[in-house]
Amino acid sequence: MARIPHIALISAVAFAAAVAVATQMNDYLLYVVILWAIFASLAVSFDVLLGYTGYLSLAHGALFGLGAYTGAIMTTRAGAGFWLALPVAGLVTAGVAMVVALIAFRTRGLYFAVLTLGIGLIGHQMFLVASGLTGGVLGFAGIPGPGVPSWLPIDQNLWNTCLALALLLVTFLAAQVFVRSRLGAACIAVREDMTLAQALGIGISRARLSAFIFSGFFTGLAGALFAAINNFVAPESFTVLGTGFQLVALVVVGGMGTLWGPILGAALLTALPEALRMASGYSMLAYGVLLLVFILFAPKGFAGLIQRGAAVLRRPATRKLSPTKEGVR
Amino acid sequence: MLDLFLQQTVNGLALGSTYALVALGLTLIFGVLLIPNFAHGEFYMVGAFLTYALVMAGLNFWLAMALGALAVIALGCLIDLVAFRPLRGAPPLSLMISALAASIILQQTATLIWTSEARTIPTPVTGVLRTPFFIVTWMQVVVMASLILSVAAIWAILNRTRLGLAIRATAQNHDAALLMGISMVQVRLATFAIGAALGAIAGALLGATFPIYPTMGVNPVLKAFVVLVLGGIGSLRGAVLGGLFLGLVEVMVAGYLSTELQDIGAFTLLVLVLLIRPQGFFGTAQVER
Amino acid sequence: MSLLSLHNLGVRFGGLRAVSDVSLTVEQGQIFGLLGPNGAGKTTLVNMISGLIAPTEGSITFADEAGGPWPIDQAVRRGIVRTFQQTRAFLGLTVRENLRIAGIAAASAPPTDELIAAFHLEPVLDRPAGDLNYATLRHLGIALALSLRPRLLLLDEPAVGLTGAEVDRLAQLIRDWNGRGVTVLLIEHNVRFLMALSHRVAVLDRGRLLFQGTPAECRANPQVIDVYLGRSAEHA
Repeated sequence: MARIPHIALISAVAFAAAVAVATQMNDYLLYVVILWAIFASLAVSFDVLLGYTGYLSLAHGALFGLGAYTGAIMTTRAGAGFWLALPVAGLVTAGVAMVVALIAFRTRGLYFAVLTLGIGLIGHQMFLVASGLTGGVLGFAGIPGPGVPSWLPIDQNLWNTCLALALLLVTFLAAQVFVRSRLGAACIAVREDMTLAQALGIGISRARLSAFIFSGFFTGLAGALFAAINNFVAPESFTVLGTGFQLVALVVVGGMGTLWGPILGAALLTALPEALRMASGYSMLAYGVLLLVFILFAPKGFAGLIQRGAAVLRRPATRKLSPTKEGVR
Repeated sequence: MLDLFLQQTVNGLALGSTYALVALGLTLIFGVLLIPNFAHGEFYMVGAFLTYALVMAGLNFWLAMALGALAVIALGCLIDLVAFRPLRGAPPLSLMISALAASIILQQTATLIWTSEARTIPTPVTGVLRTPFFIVTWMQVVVMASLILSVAAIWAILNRTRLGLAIRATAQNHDAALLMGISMVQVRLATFAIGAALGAIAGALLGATFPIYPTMGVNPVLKAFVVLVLGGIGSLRGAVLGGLFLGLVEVMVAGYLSTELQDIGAFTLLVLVLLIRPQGFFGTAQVER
Repeated sequence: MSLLSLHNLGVRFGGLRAVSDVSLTVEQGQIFGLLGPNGAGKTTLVNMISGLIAPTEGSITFADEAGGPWPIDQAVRRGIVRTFQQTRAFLGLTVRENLRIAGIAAASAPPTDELIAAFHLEPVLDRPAGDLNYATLRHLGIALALSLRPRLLLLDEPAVGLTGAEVDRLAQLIRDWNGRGVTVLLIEHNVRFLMALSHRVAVLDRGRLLFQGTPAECRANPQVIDVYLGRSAEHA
């Protein structure tokens, strides 16, 4: 496993390169990059739960919404600045995620998925019903964007892009630290064999709870940034079968339990509909088909395919041995 | 007062009958094959839309429903073949994800074909039956009668046929059934066929009362999962009783509290049940500390 | 000095009494063998001591601390660690990752290098545990438990399915680690293996303790011969 300083260095270089490339992009391309970066950070933090801990949550669409609405309310009604609203949205979402997790982790497997699906539906319903706070079905308009610092000679779109990329960078590094910690190792133990994990004295409740809260926090941050950049949010962005399902697709297609795979997954699944100029109906269909194809034929996702390809390239010498052996027979 | 209560009870039983029909198919597939078929809601949805399309093409409702059910049986077996059978022996998480993908694919395909606009199937039977205590529409009678007929048919298949015996054996012990030479292909086909047919019938019947749209299957399938938890996985009796109970609870909540709370009531019930008995009321409790 | 004492330990599942009224004492440094036919309640007893299931009656004392059994995480913290009859390791992870994860709950640094050497895991370190052969997997299962530096190691039928030579190697490993201060409670129905290893044995039959004493006394006990030993001893 690569070590954290190396990963941090490579990520920082990638971030700088992405920003440099972004300066040359037009507004449409910047918009696609922002979309990718936000969904990639969502997918990375979701991977900590789905890929490392093995629990399929369908409540994360609603948690994303919670972060978005919290950010929106903070920056409008409460009059807070973006830089205060962002962490508050993360913390509020993490808090709610903790409550959800305490309920949901009483179950496992299918029941966990069904229970979080129910919670996701209730959450979405709440965004519609609590129209005094959320604007109901019409949505929440007039959310102030993250202002460009006066000393920076760049326009709003480029700044938004930098923020979205920065969020991805921070989420990715935090996730790397998390999965390498004792808690992360405990999460893997939970995923692999819960009874054995218990027998080895591993605190499984604490591990999976932390994974859920971790993903909740970064989902909240992504939500608040999403709201600020769009200046508008509506419940339709936070449905179980929309965002909640998309997250599963991004992570599985990218490669569960790798953290970098979901970033690729997000790139593929964000770029594809844009490149093909698909109507949204077709893009969801494409998500479904891709998810099915990957879970059937490449359950380790894009990352797994890349790893396998790299392994084949690295081992030409050992490969040569086997034909001779068979030739003798 | 009593009249209102009786009336609500009848309405609740009618609503619960459709839940029970959906839950029966879901619990059969899950109980026998251990497949968490999220796409079951889409069997229900496709059943409703095919019935709608055929009725619009001029067919009689009952014929349309039967043809729709046949088509959904074929669809069910196709879904099994494509999405589930290749995953035999894979971890349950893969099955869940695959089911989720199948569900989305069917929903989106239906949206492309029929758009997301809500439609209604013309009710095949109209009029009401008045009794001194309550009023029941003939359609409600049909729904409840369908549940009774379906349960009787499933019971007969499971208990009076060789295939039914094979299905029950598989549900009891999958490996032992294999050792006894039971053909898993037949069992899978039959289980999916029965499950899909039940879903399609429920969809057609409910579509004659309520609007139909491509994501109409989501709530019922989730409620069917609630019913499964209530009634115990794989228990047909549990599915029927749980379905009726859920219908009653929802109608009572809507009648005595508020209509807006109806769905939230069902999901709250789900959360409560899972909190009290994470393995359901009739499921086996697992020791976990 | 006694390390573990069971006081009238018992459990019922519904109406079924799986284990009842079991009292015994394991001395510090011993290898204590628990013998019994299938279904005698041996694994249930281990499940209770290790905290995987709660007894309905009785209690245990461990290292002079009364009030057990404790839930599994607390039991592990006190130094009671178990293995499983169906050998458990994290099958999707490599041997190296298995050992790393097994050590995370250890109070002090796990003796990973010694375990790798003692259990001959060096050549397979980067292989997934799911690809190991049966005997190596067994070794890994025990090595995982030993990562926690247990005071009491509960071994649930470690010799099942092993060939004669493999059984002998396993016996030597258990003796070695016992020699380094690990008290062992060994559950088996391989009589020869158990008798050869144990300082003291007990026989469980239909949930009750039938006998407790030295291996020699056990062999001579008419009751034990009657219900269990006689039959198996002929085959052993």
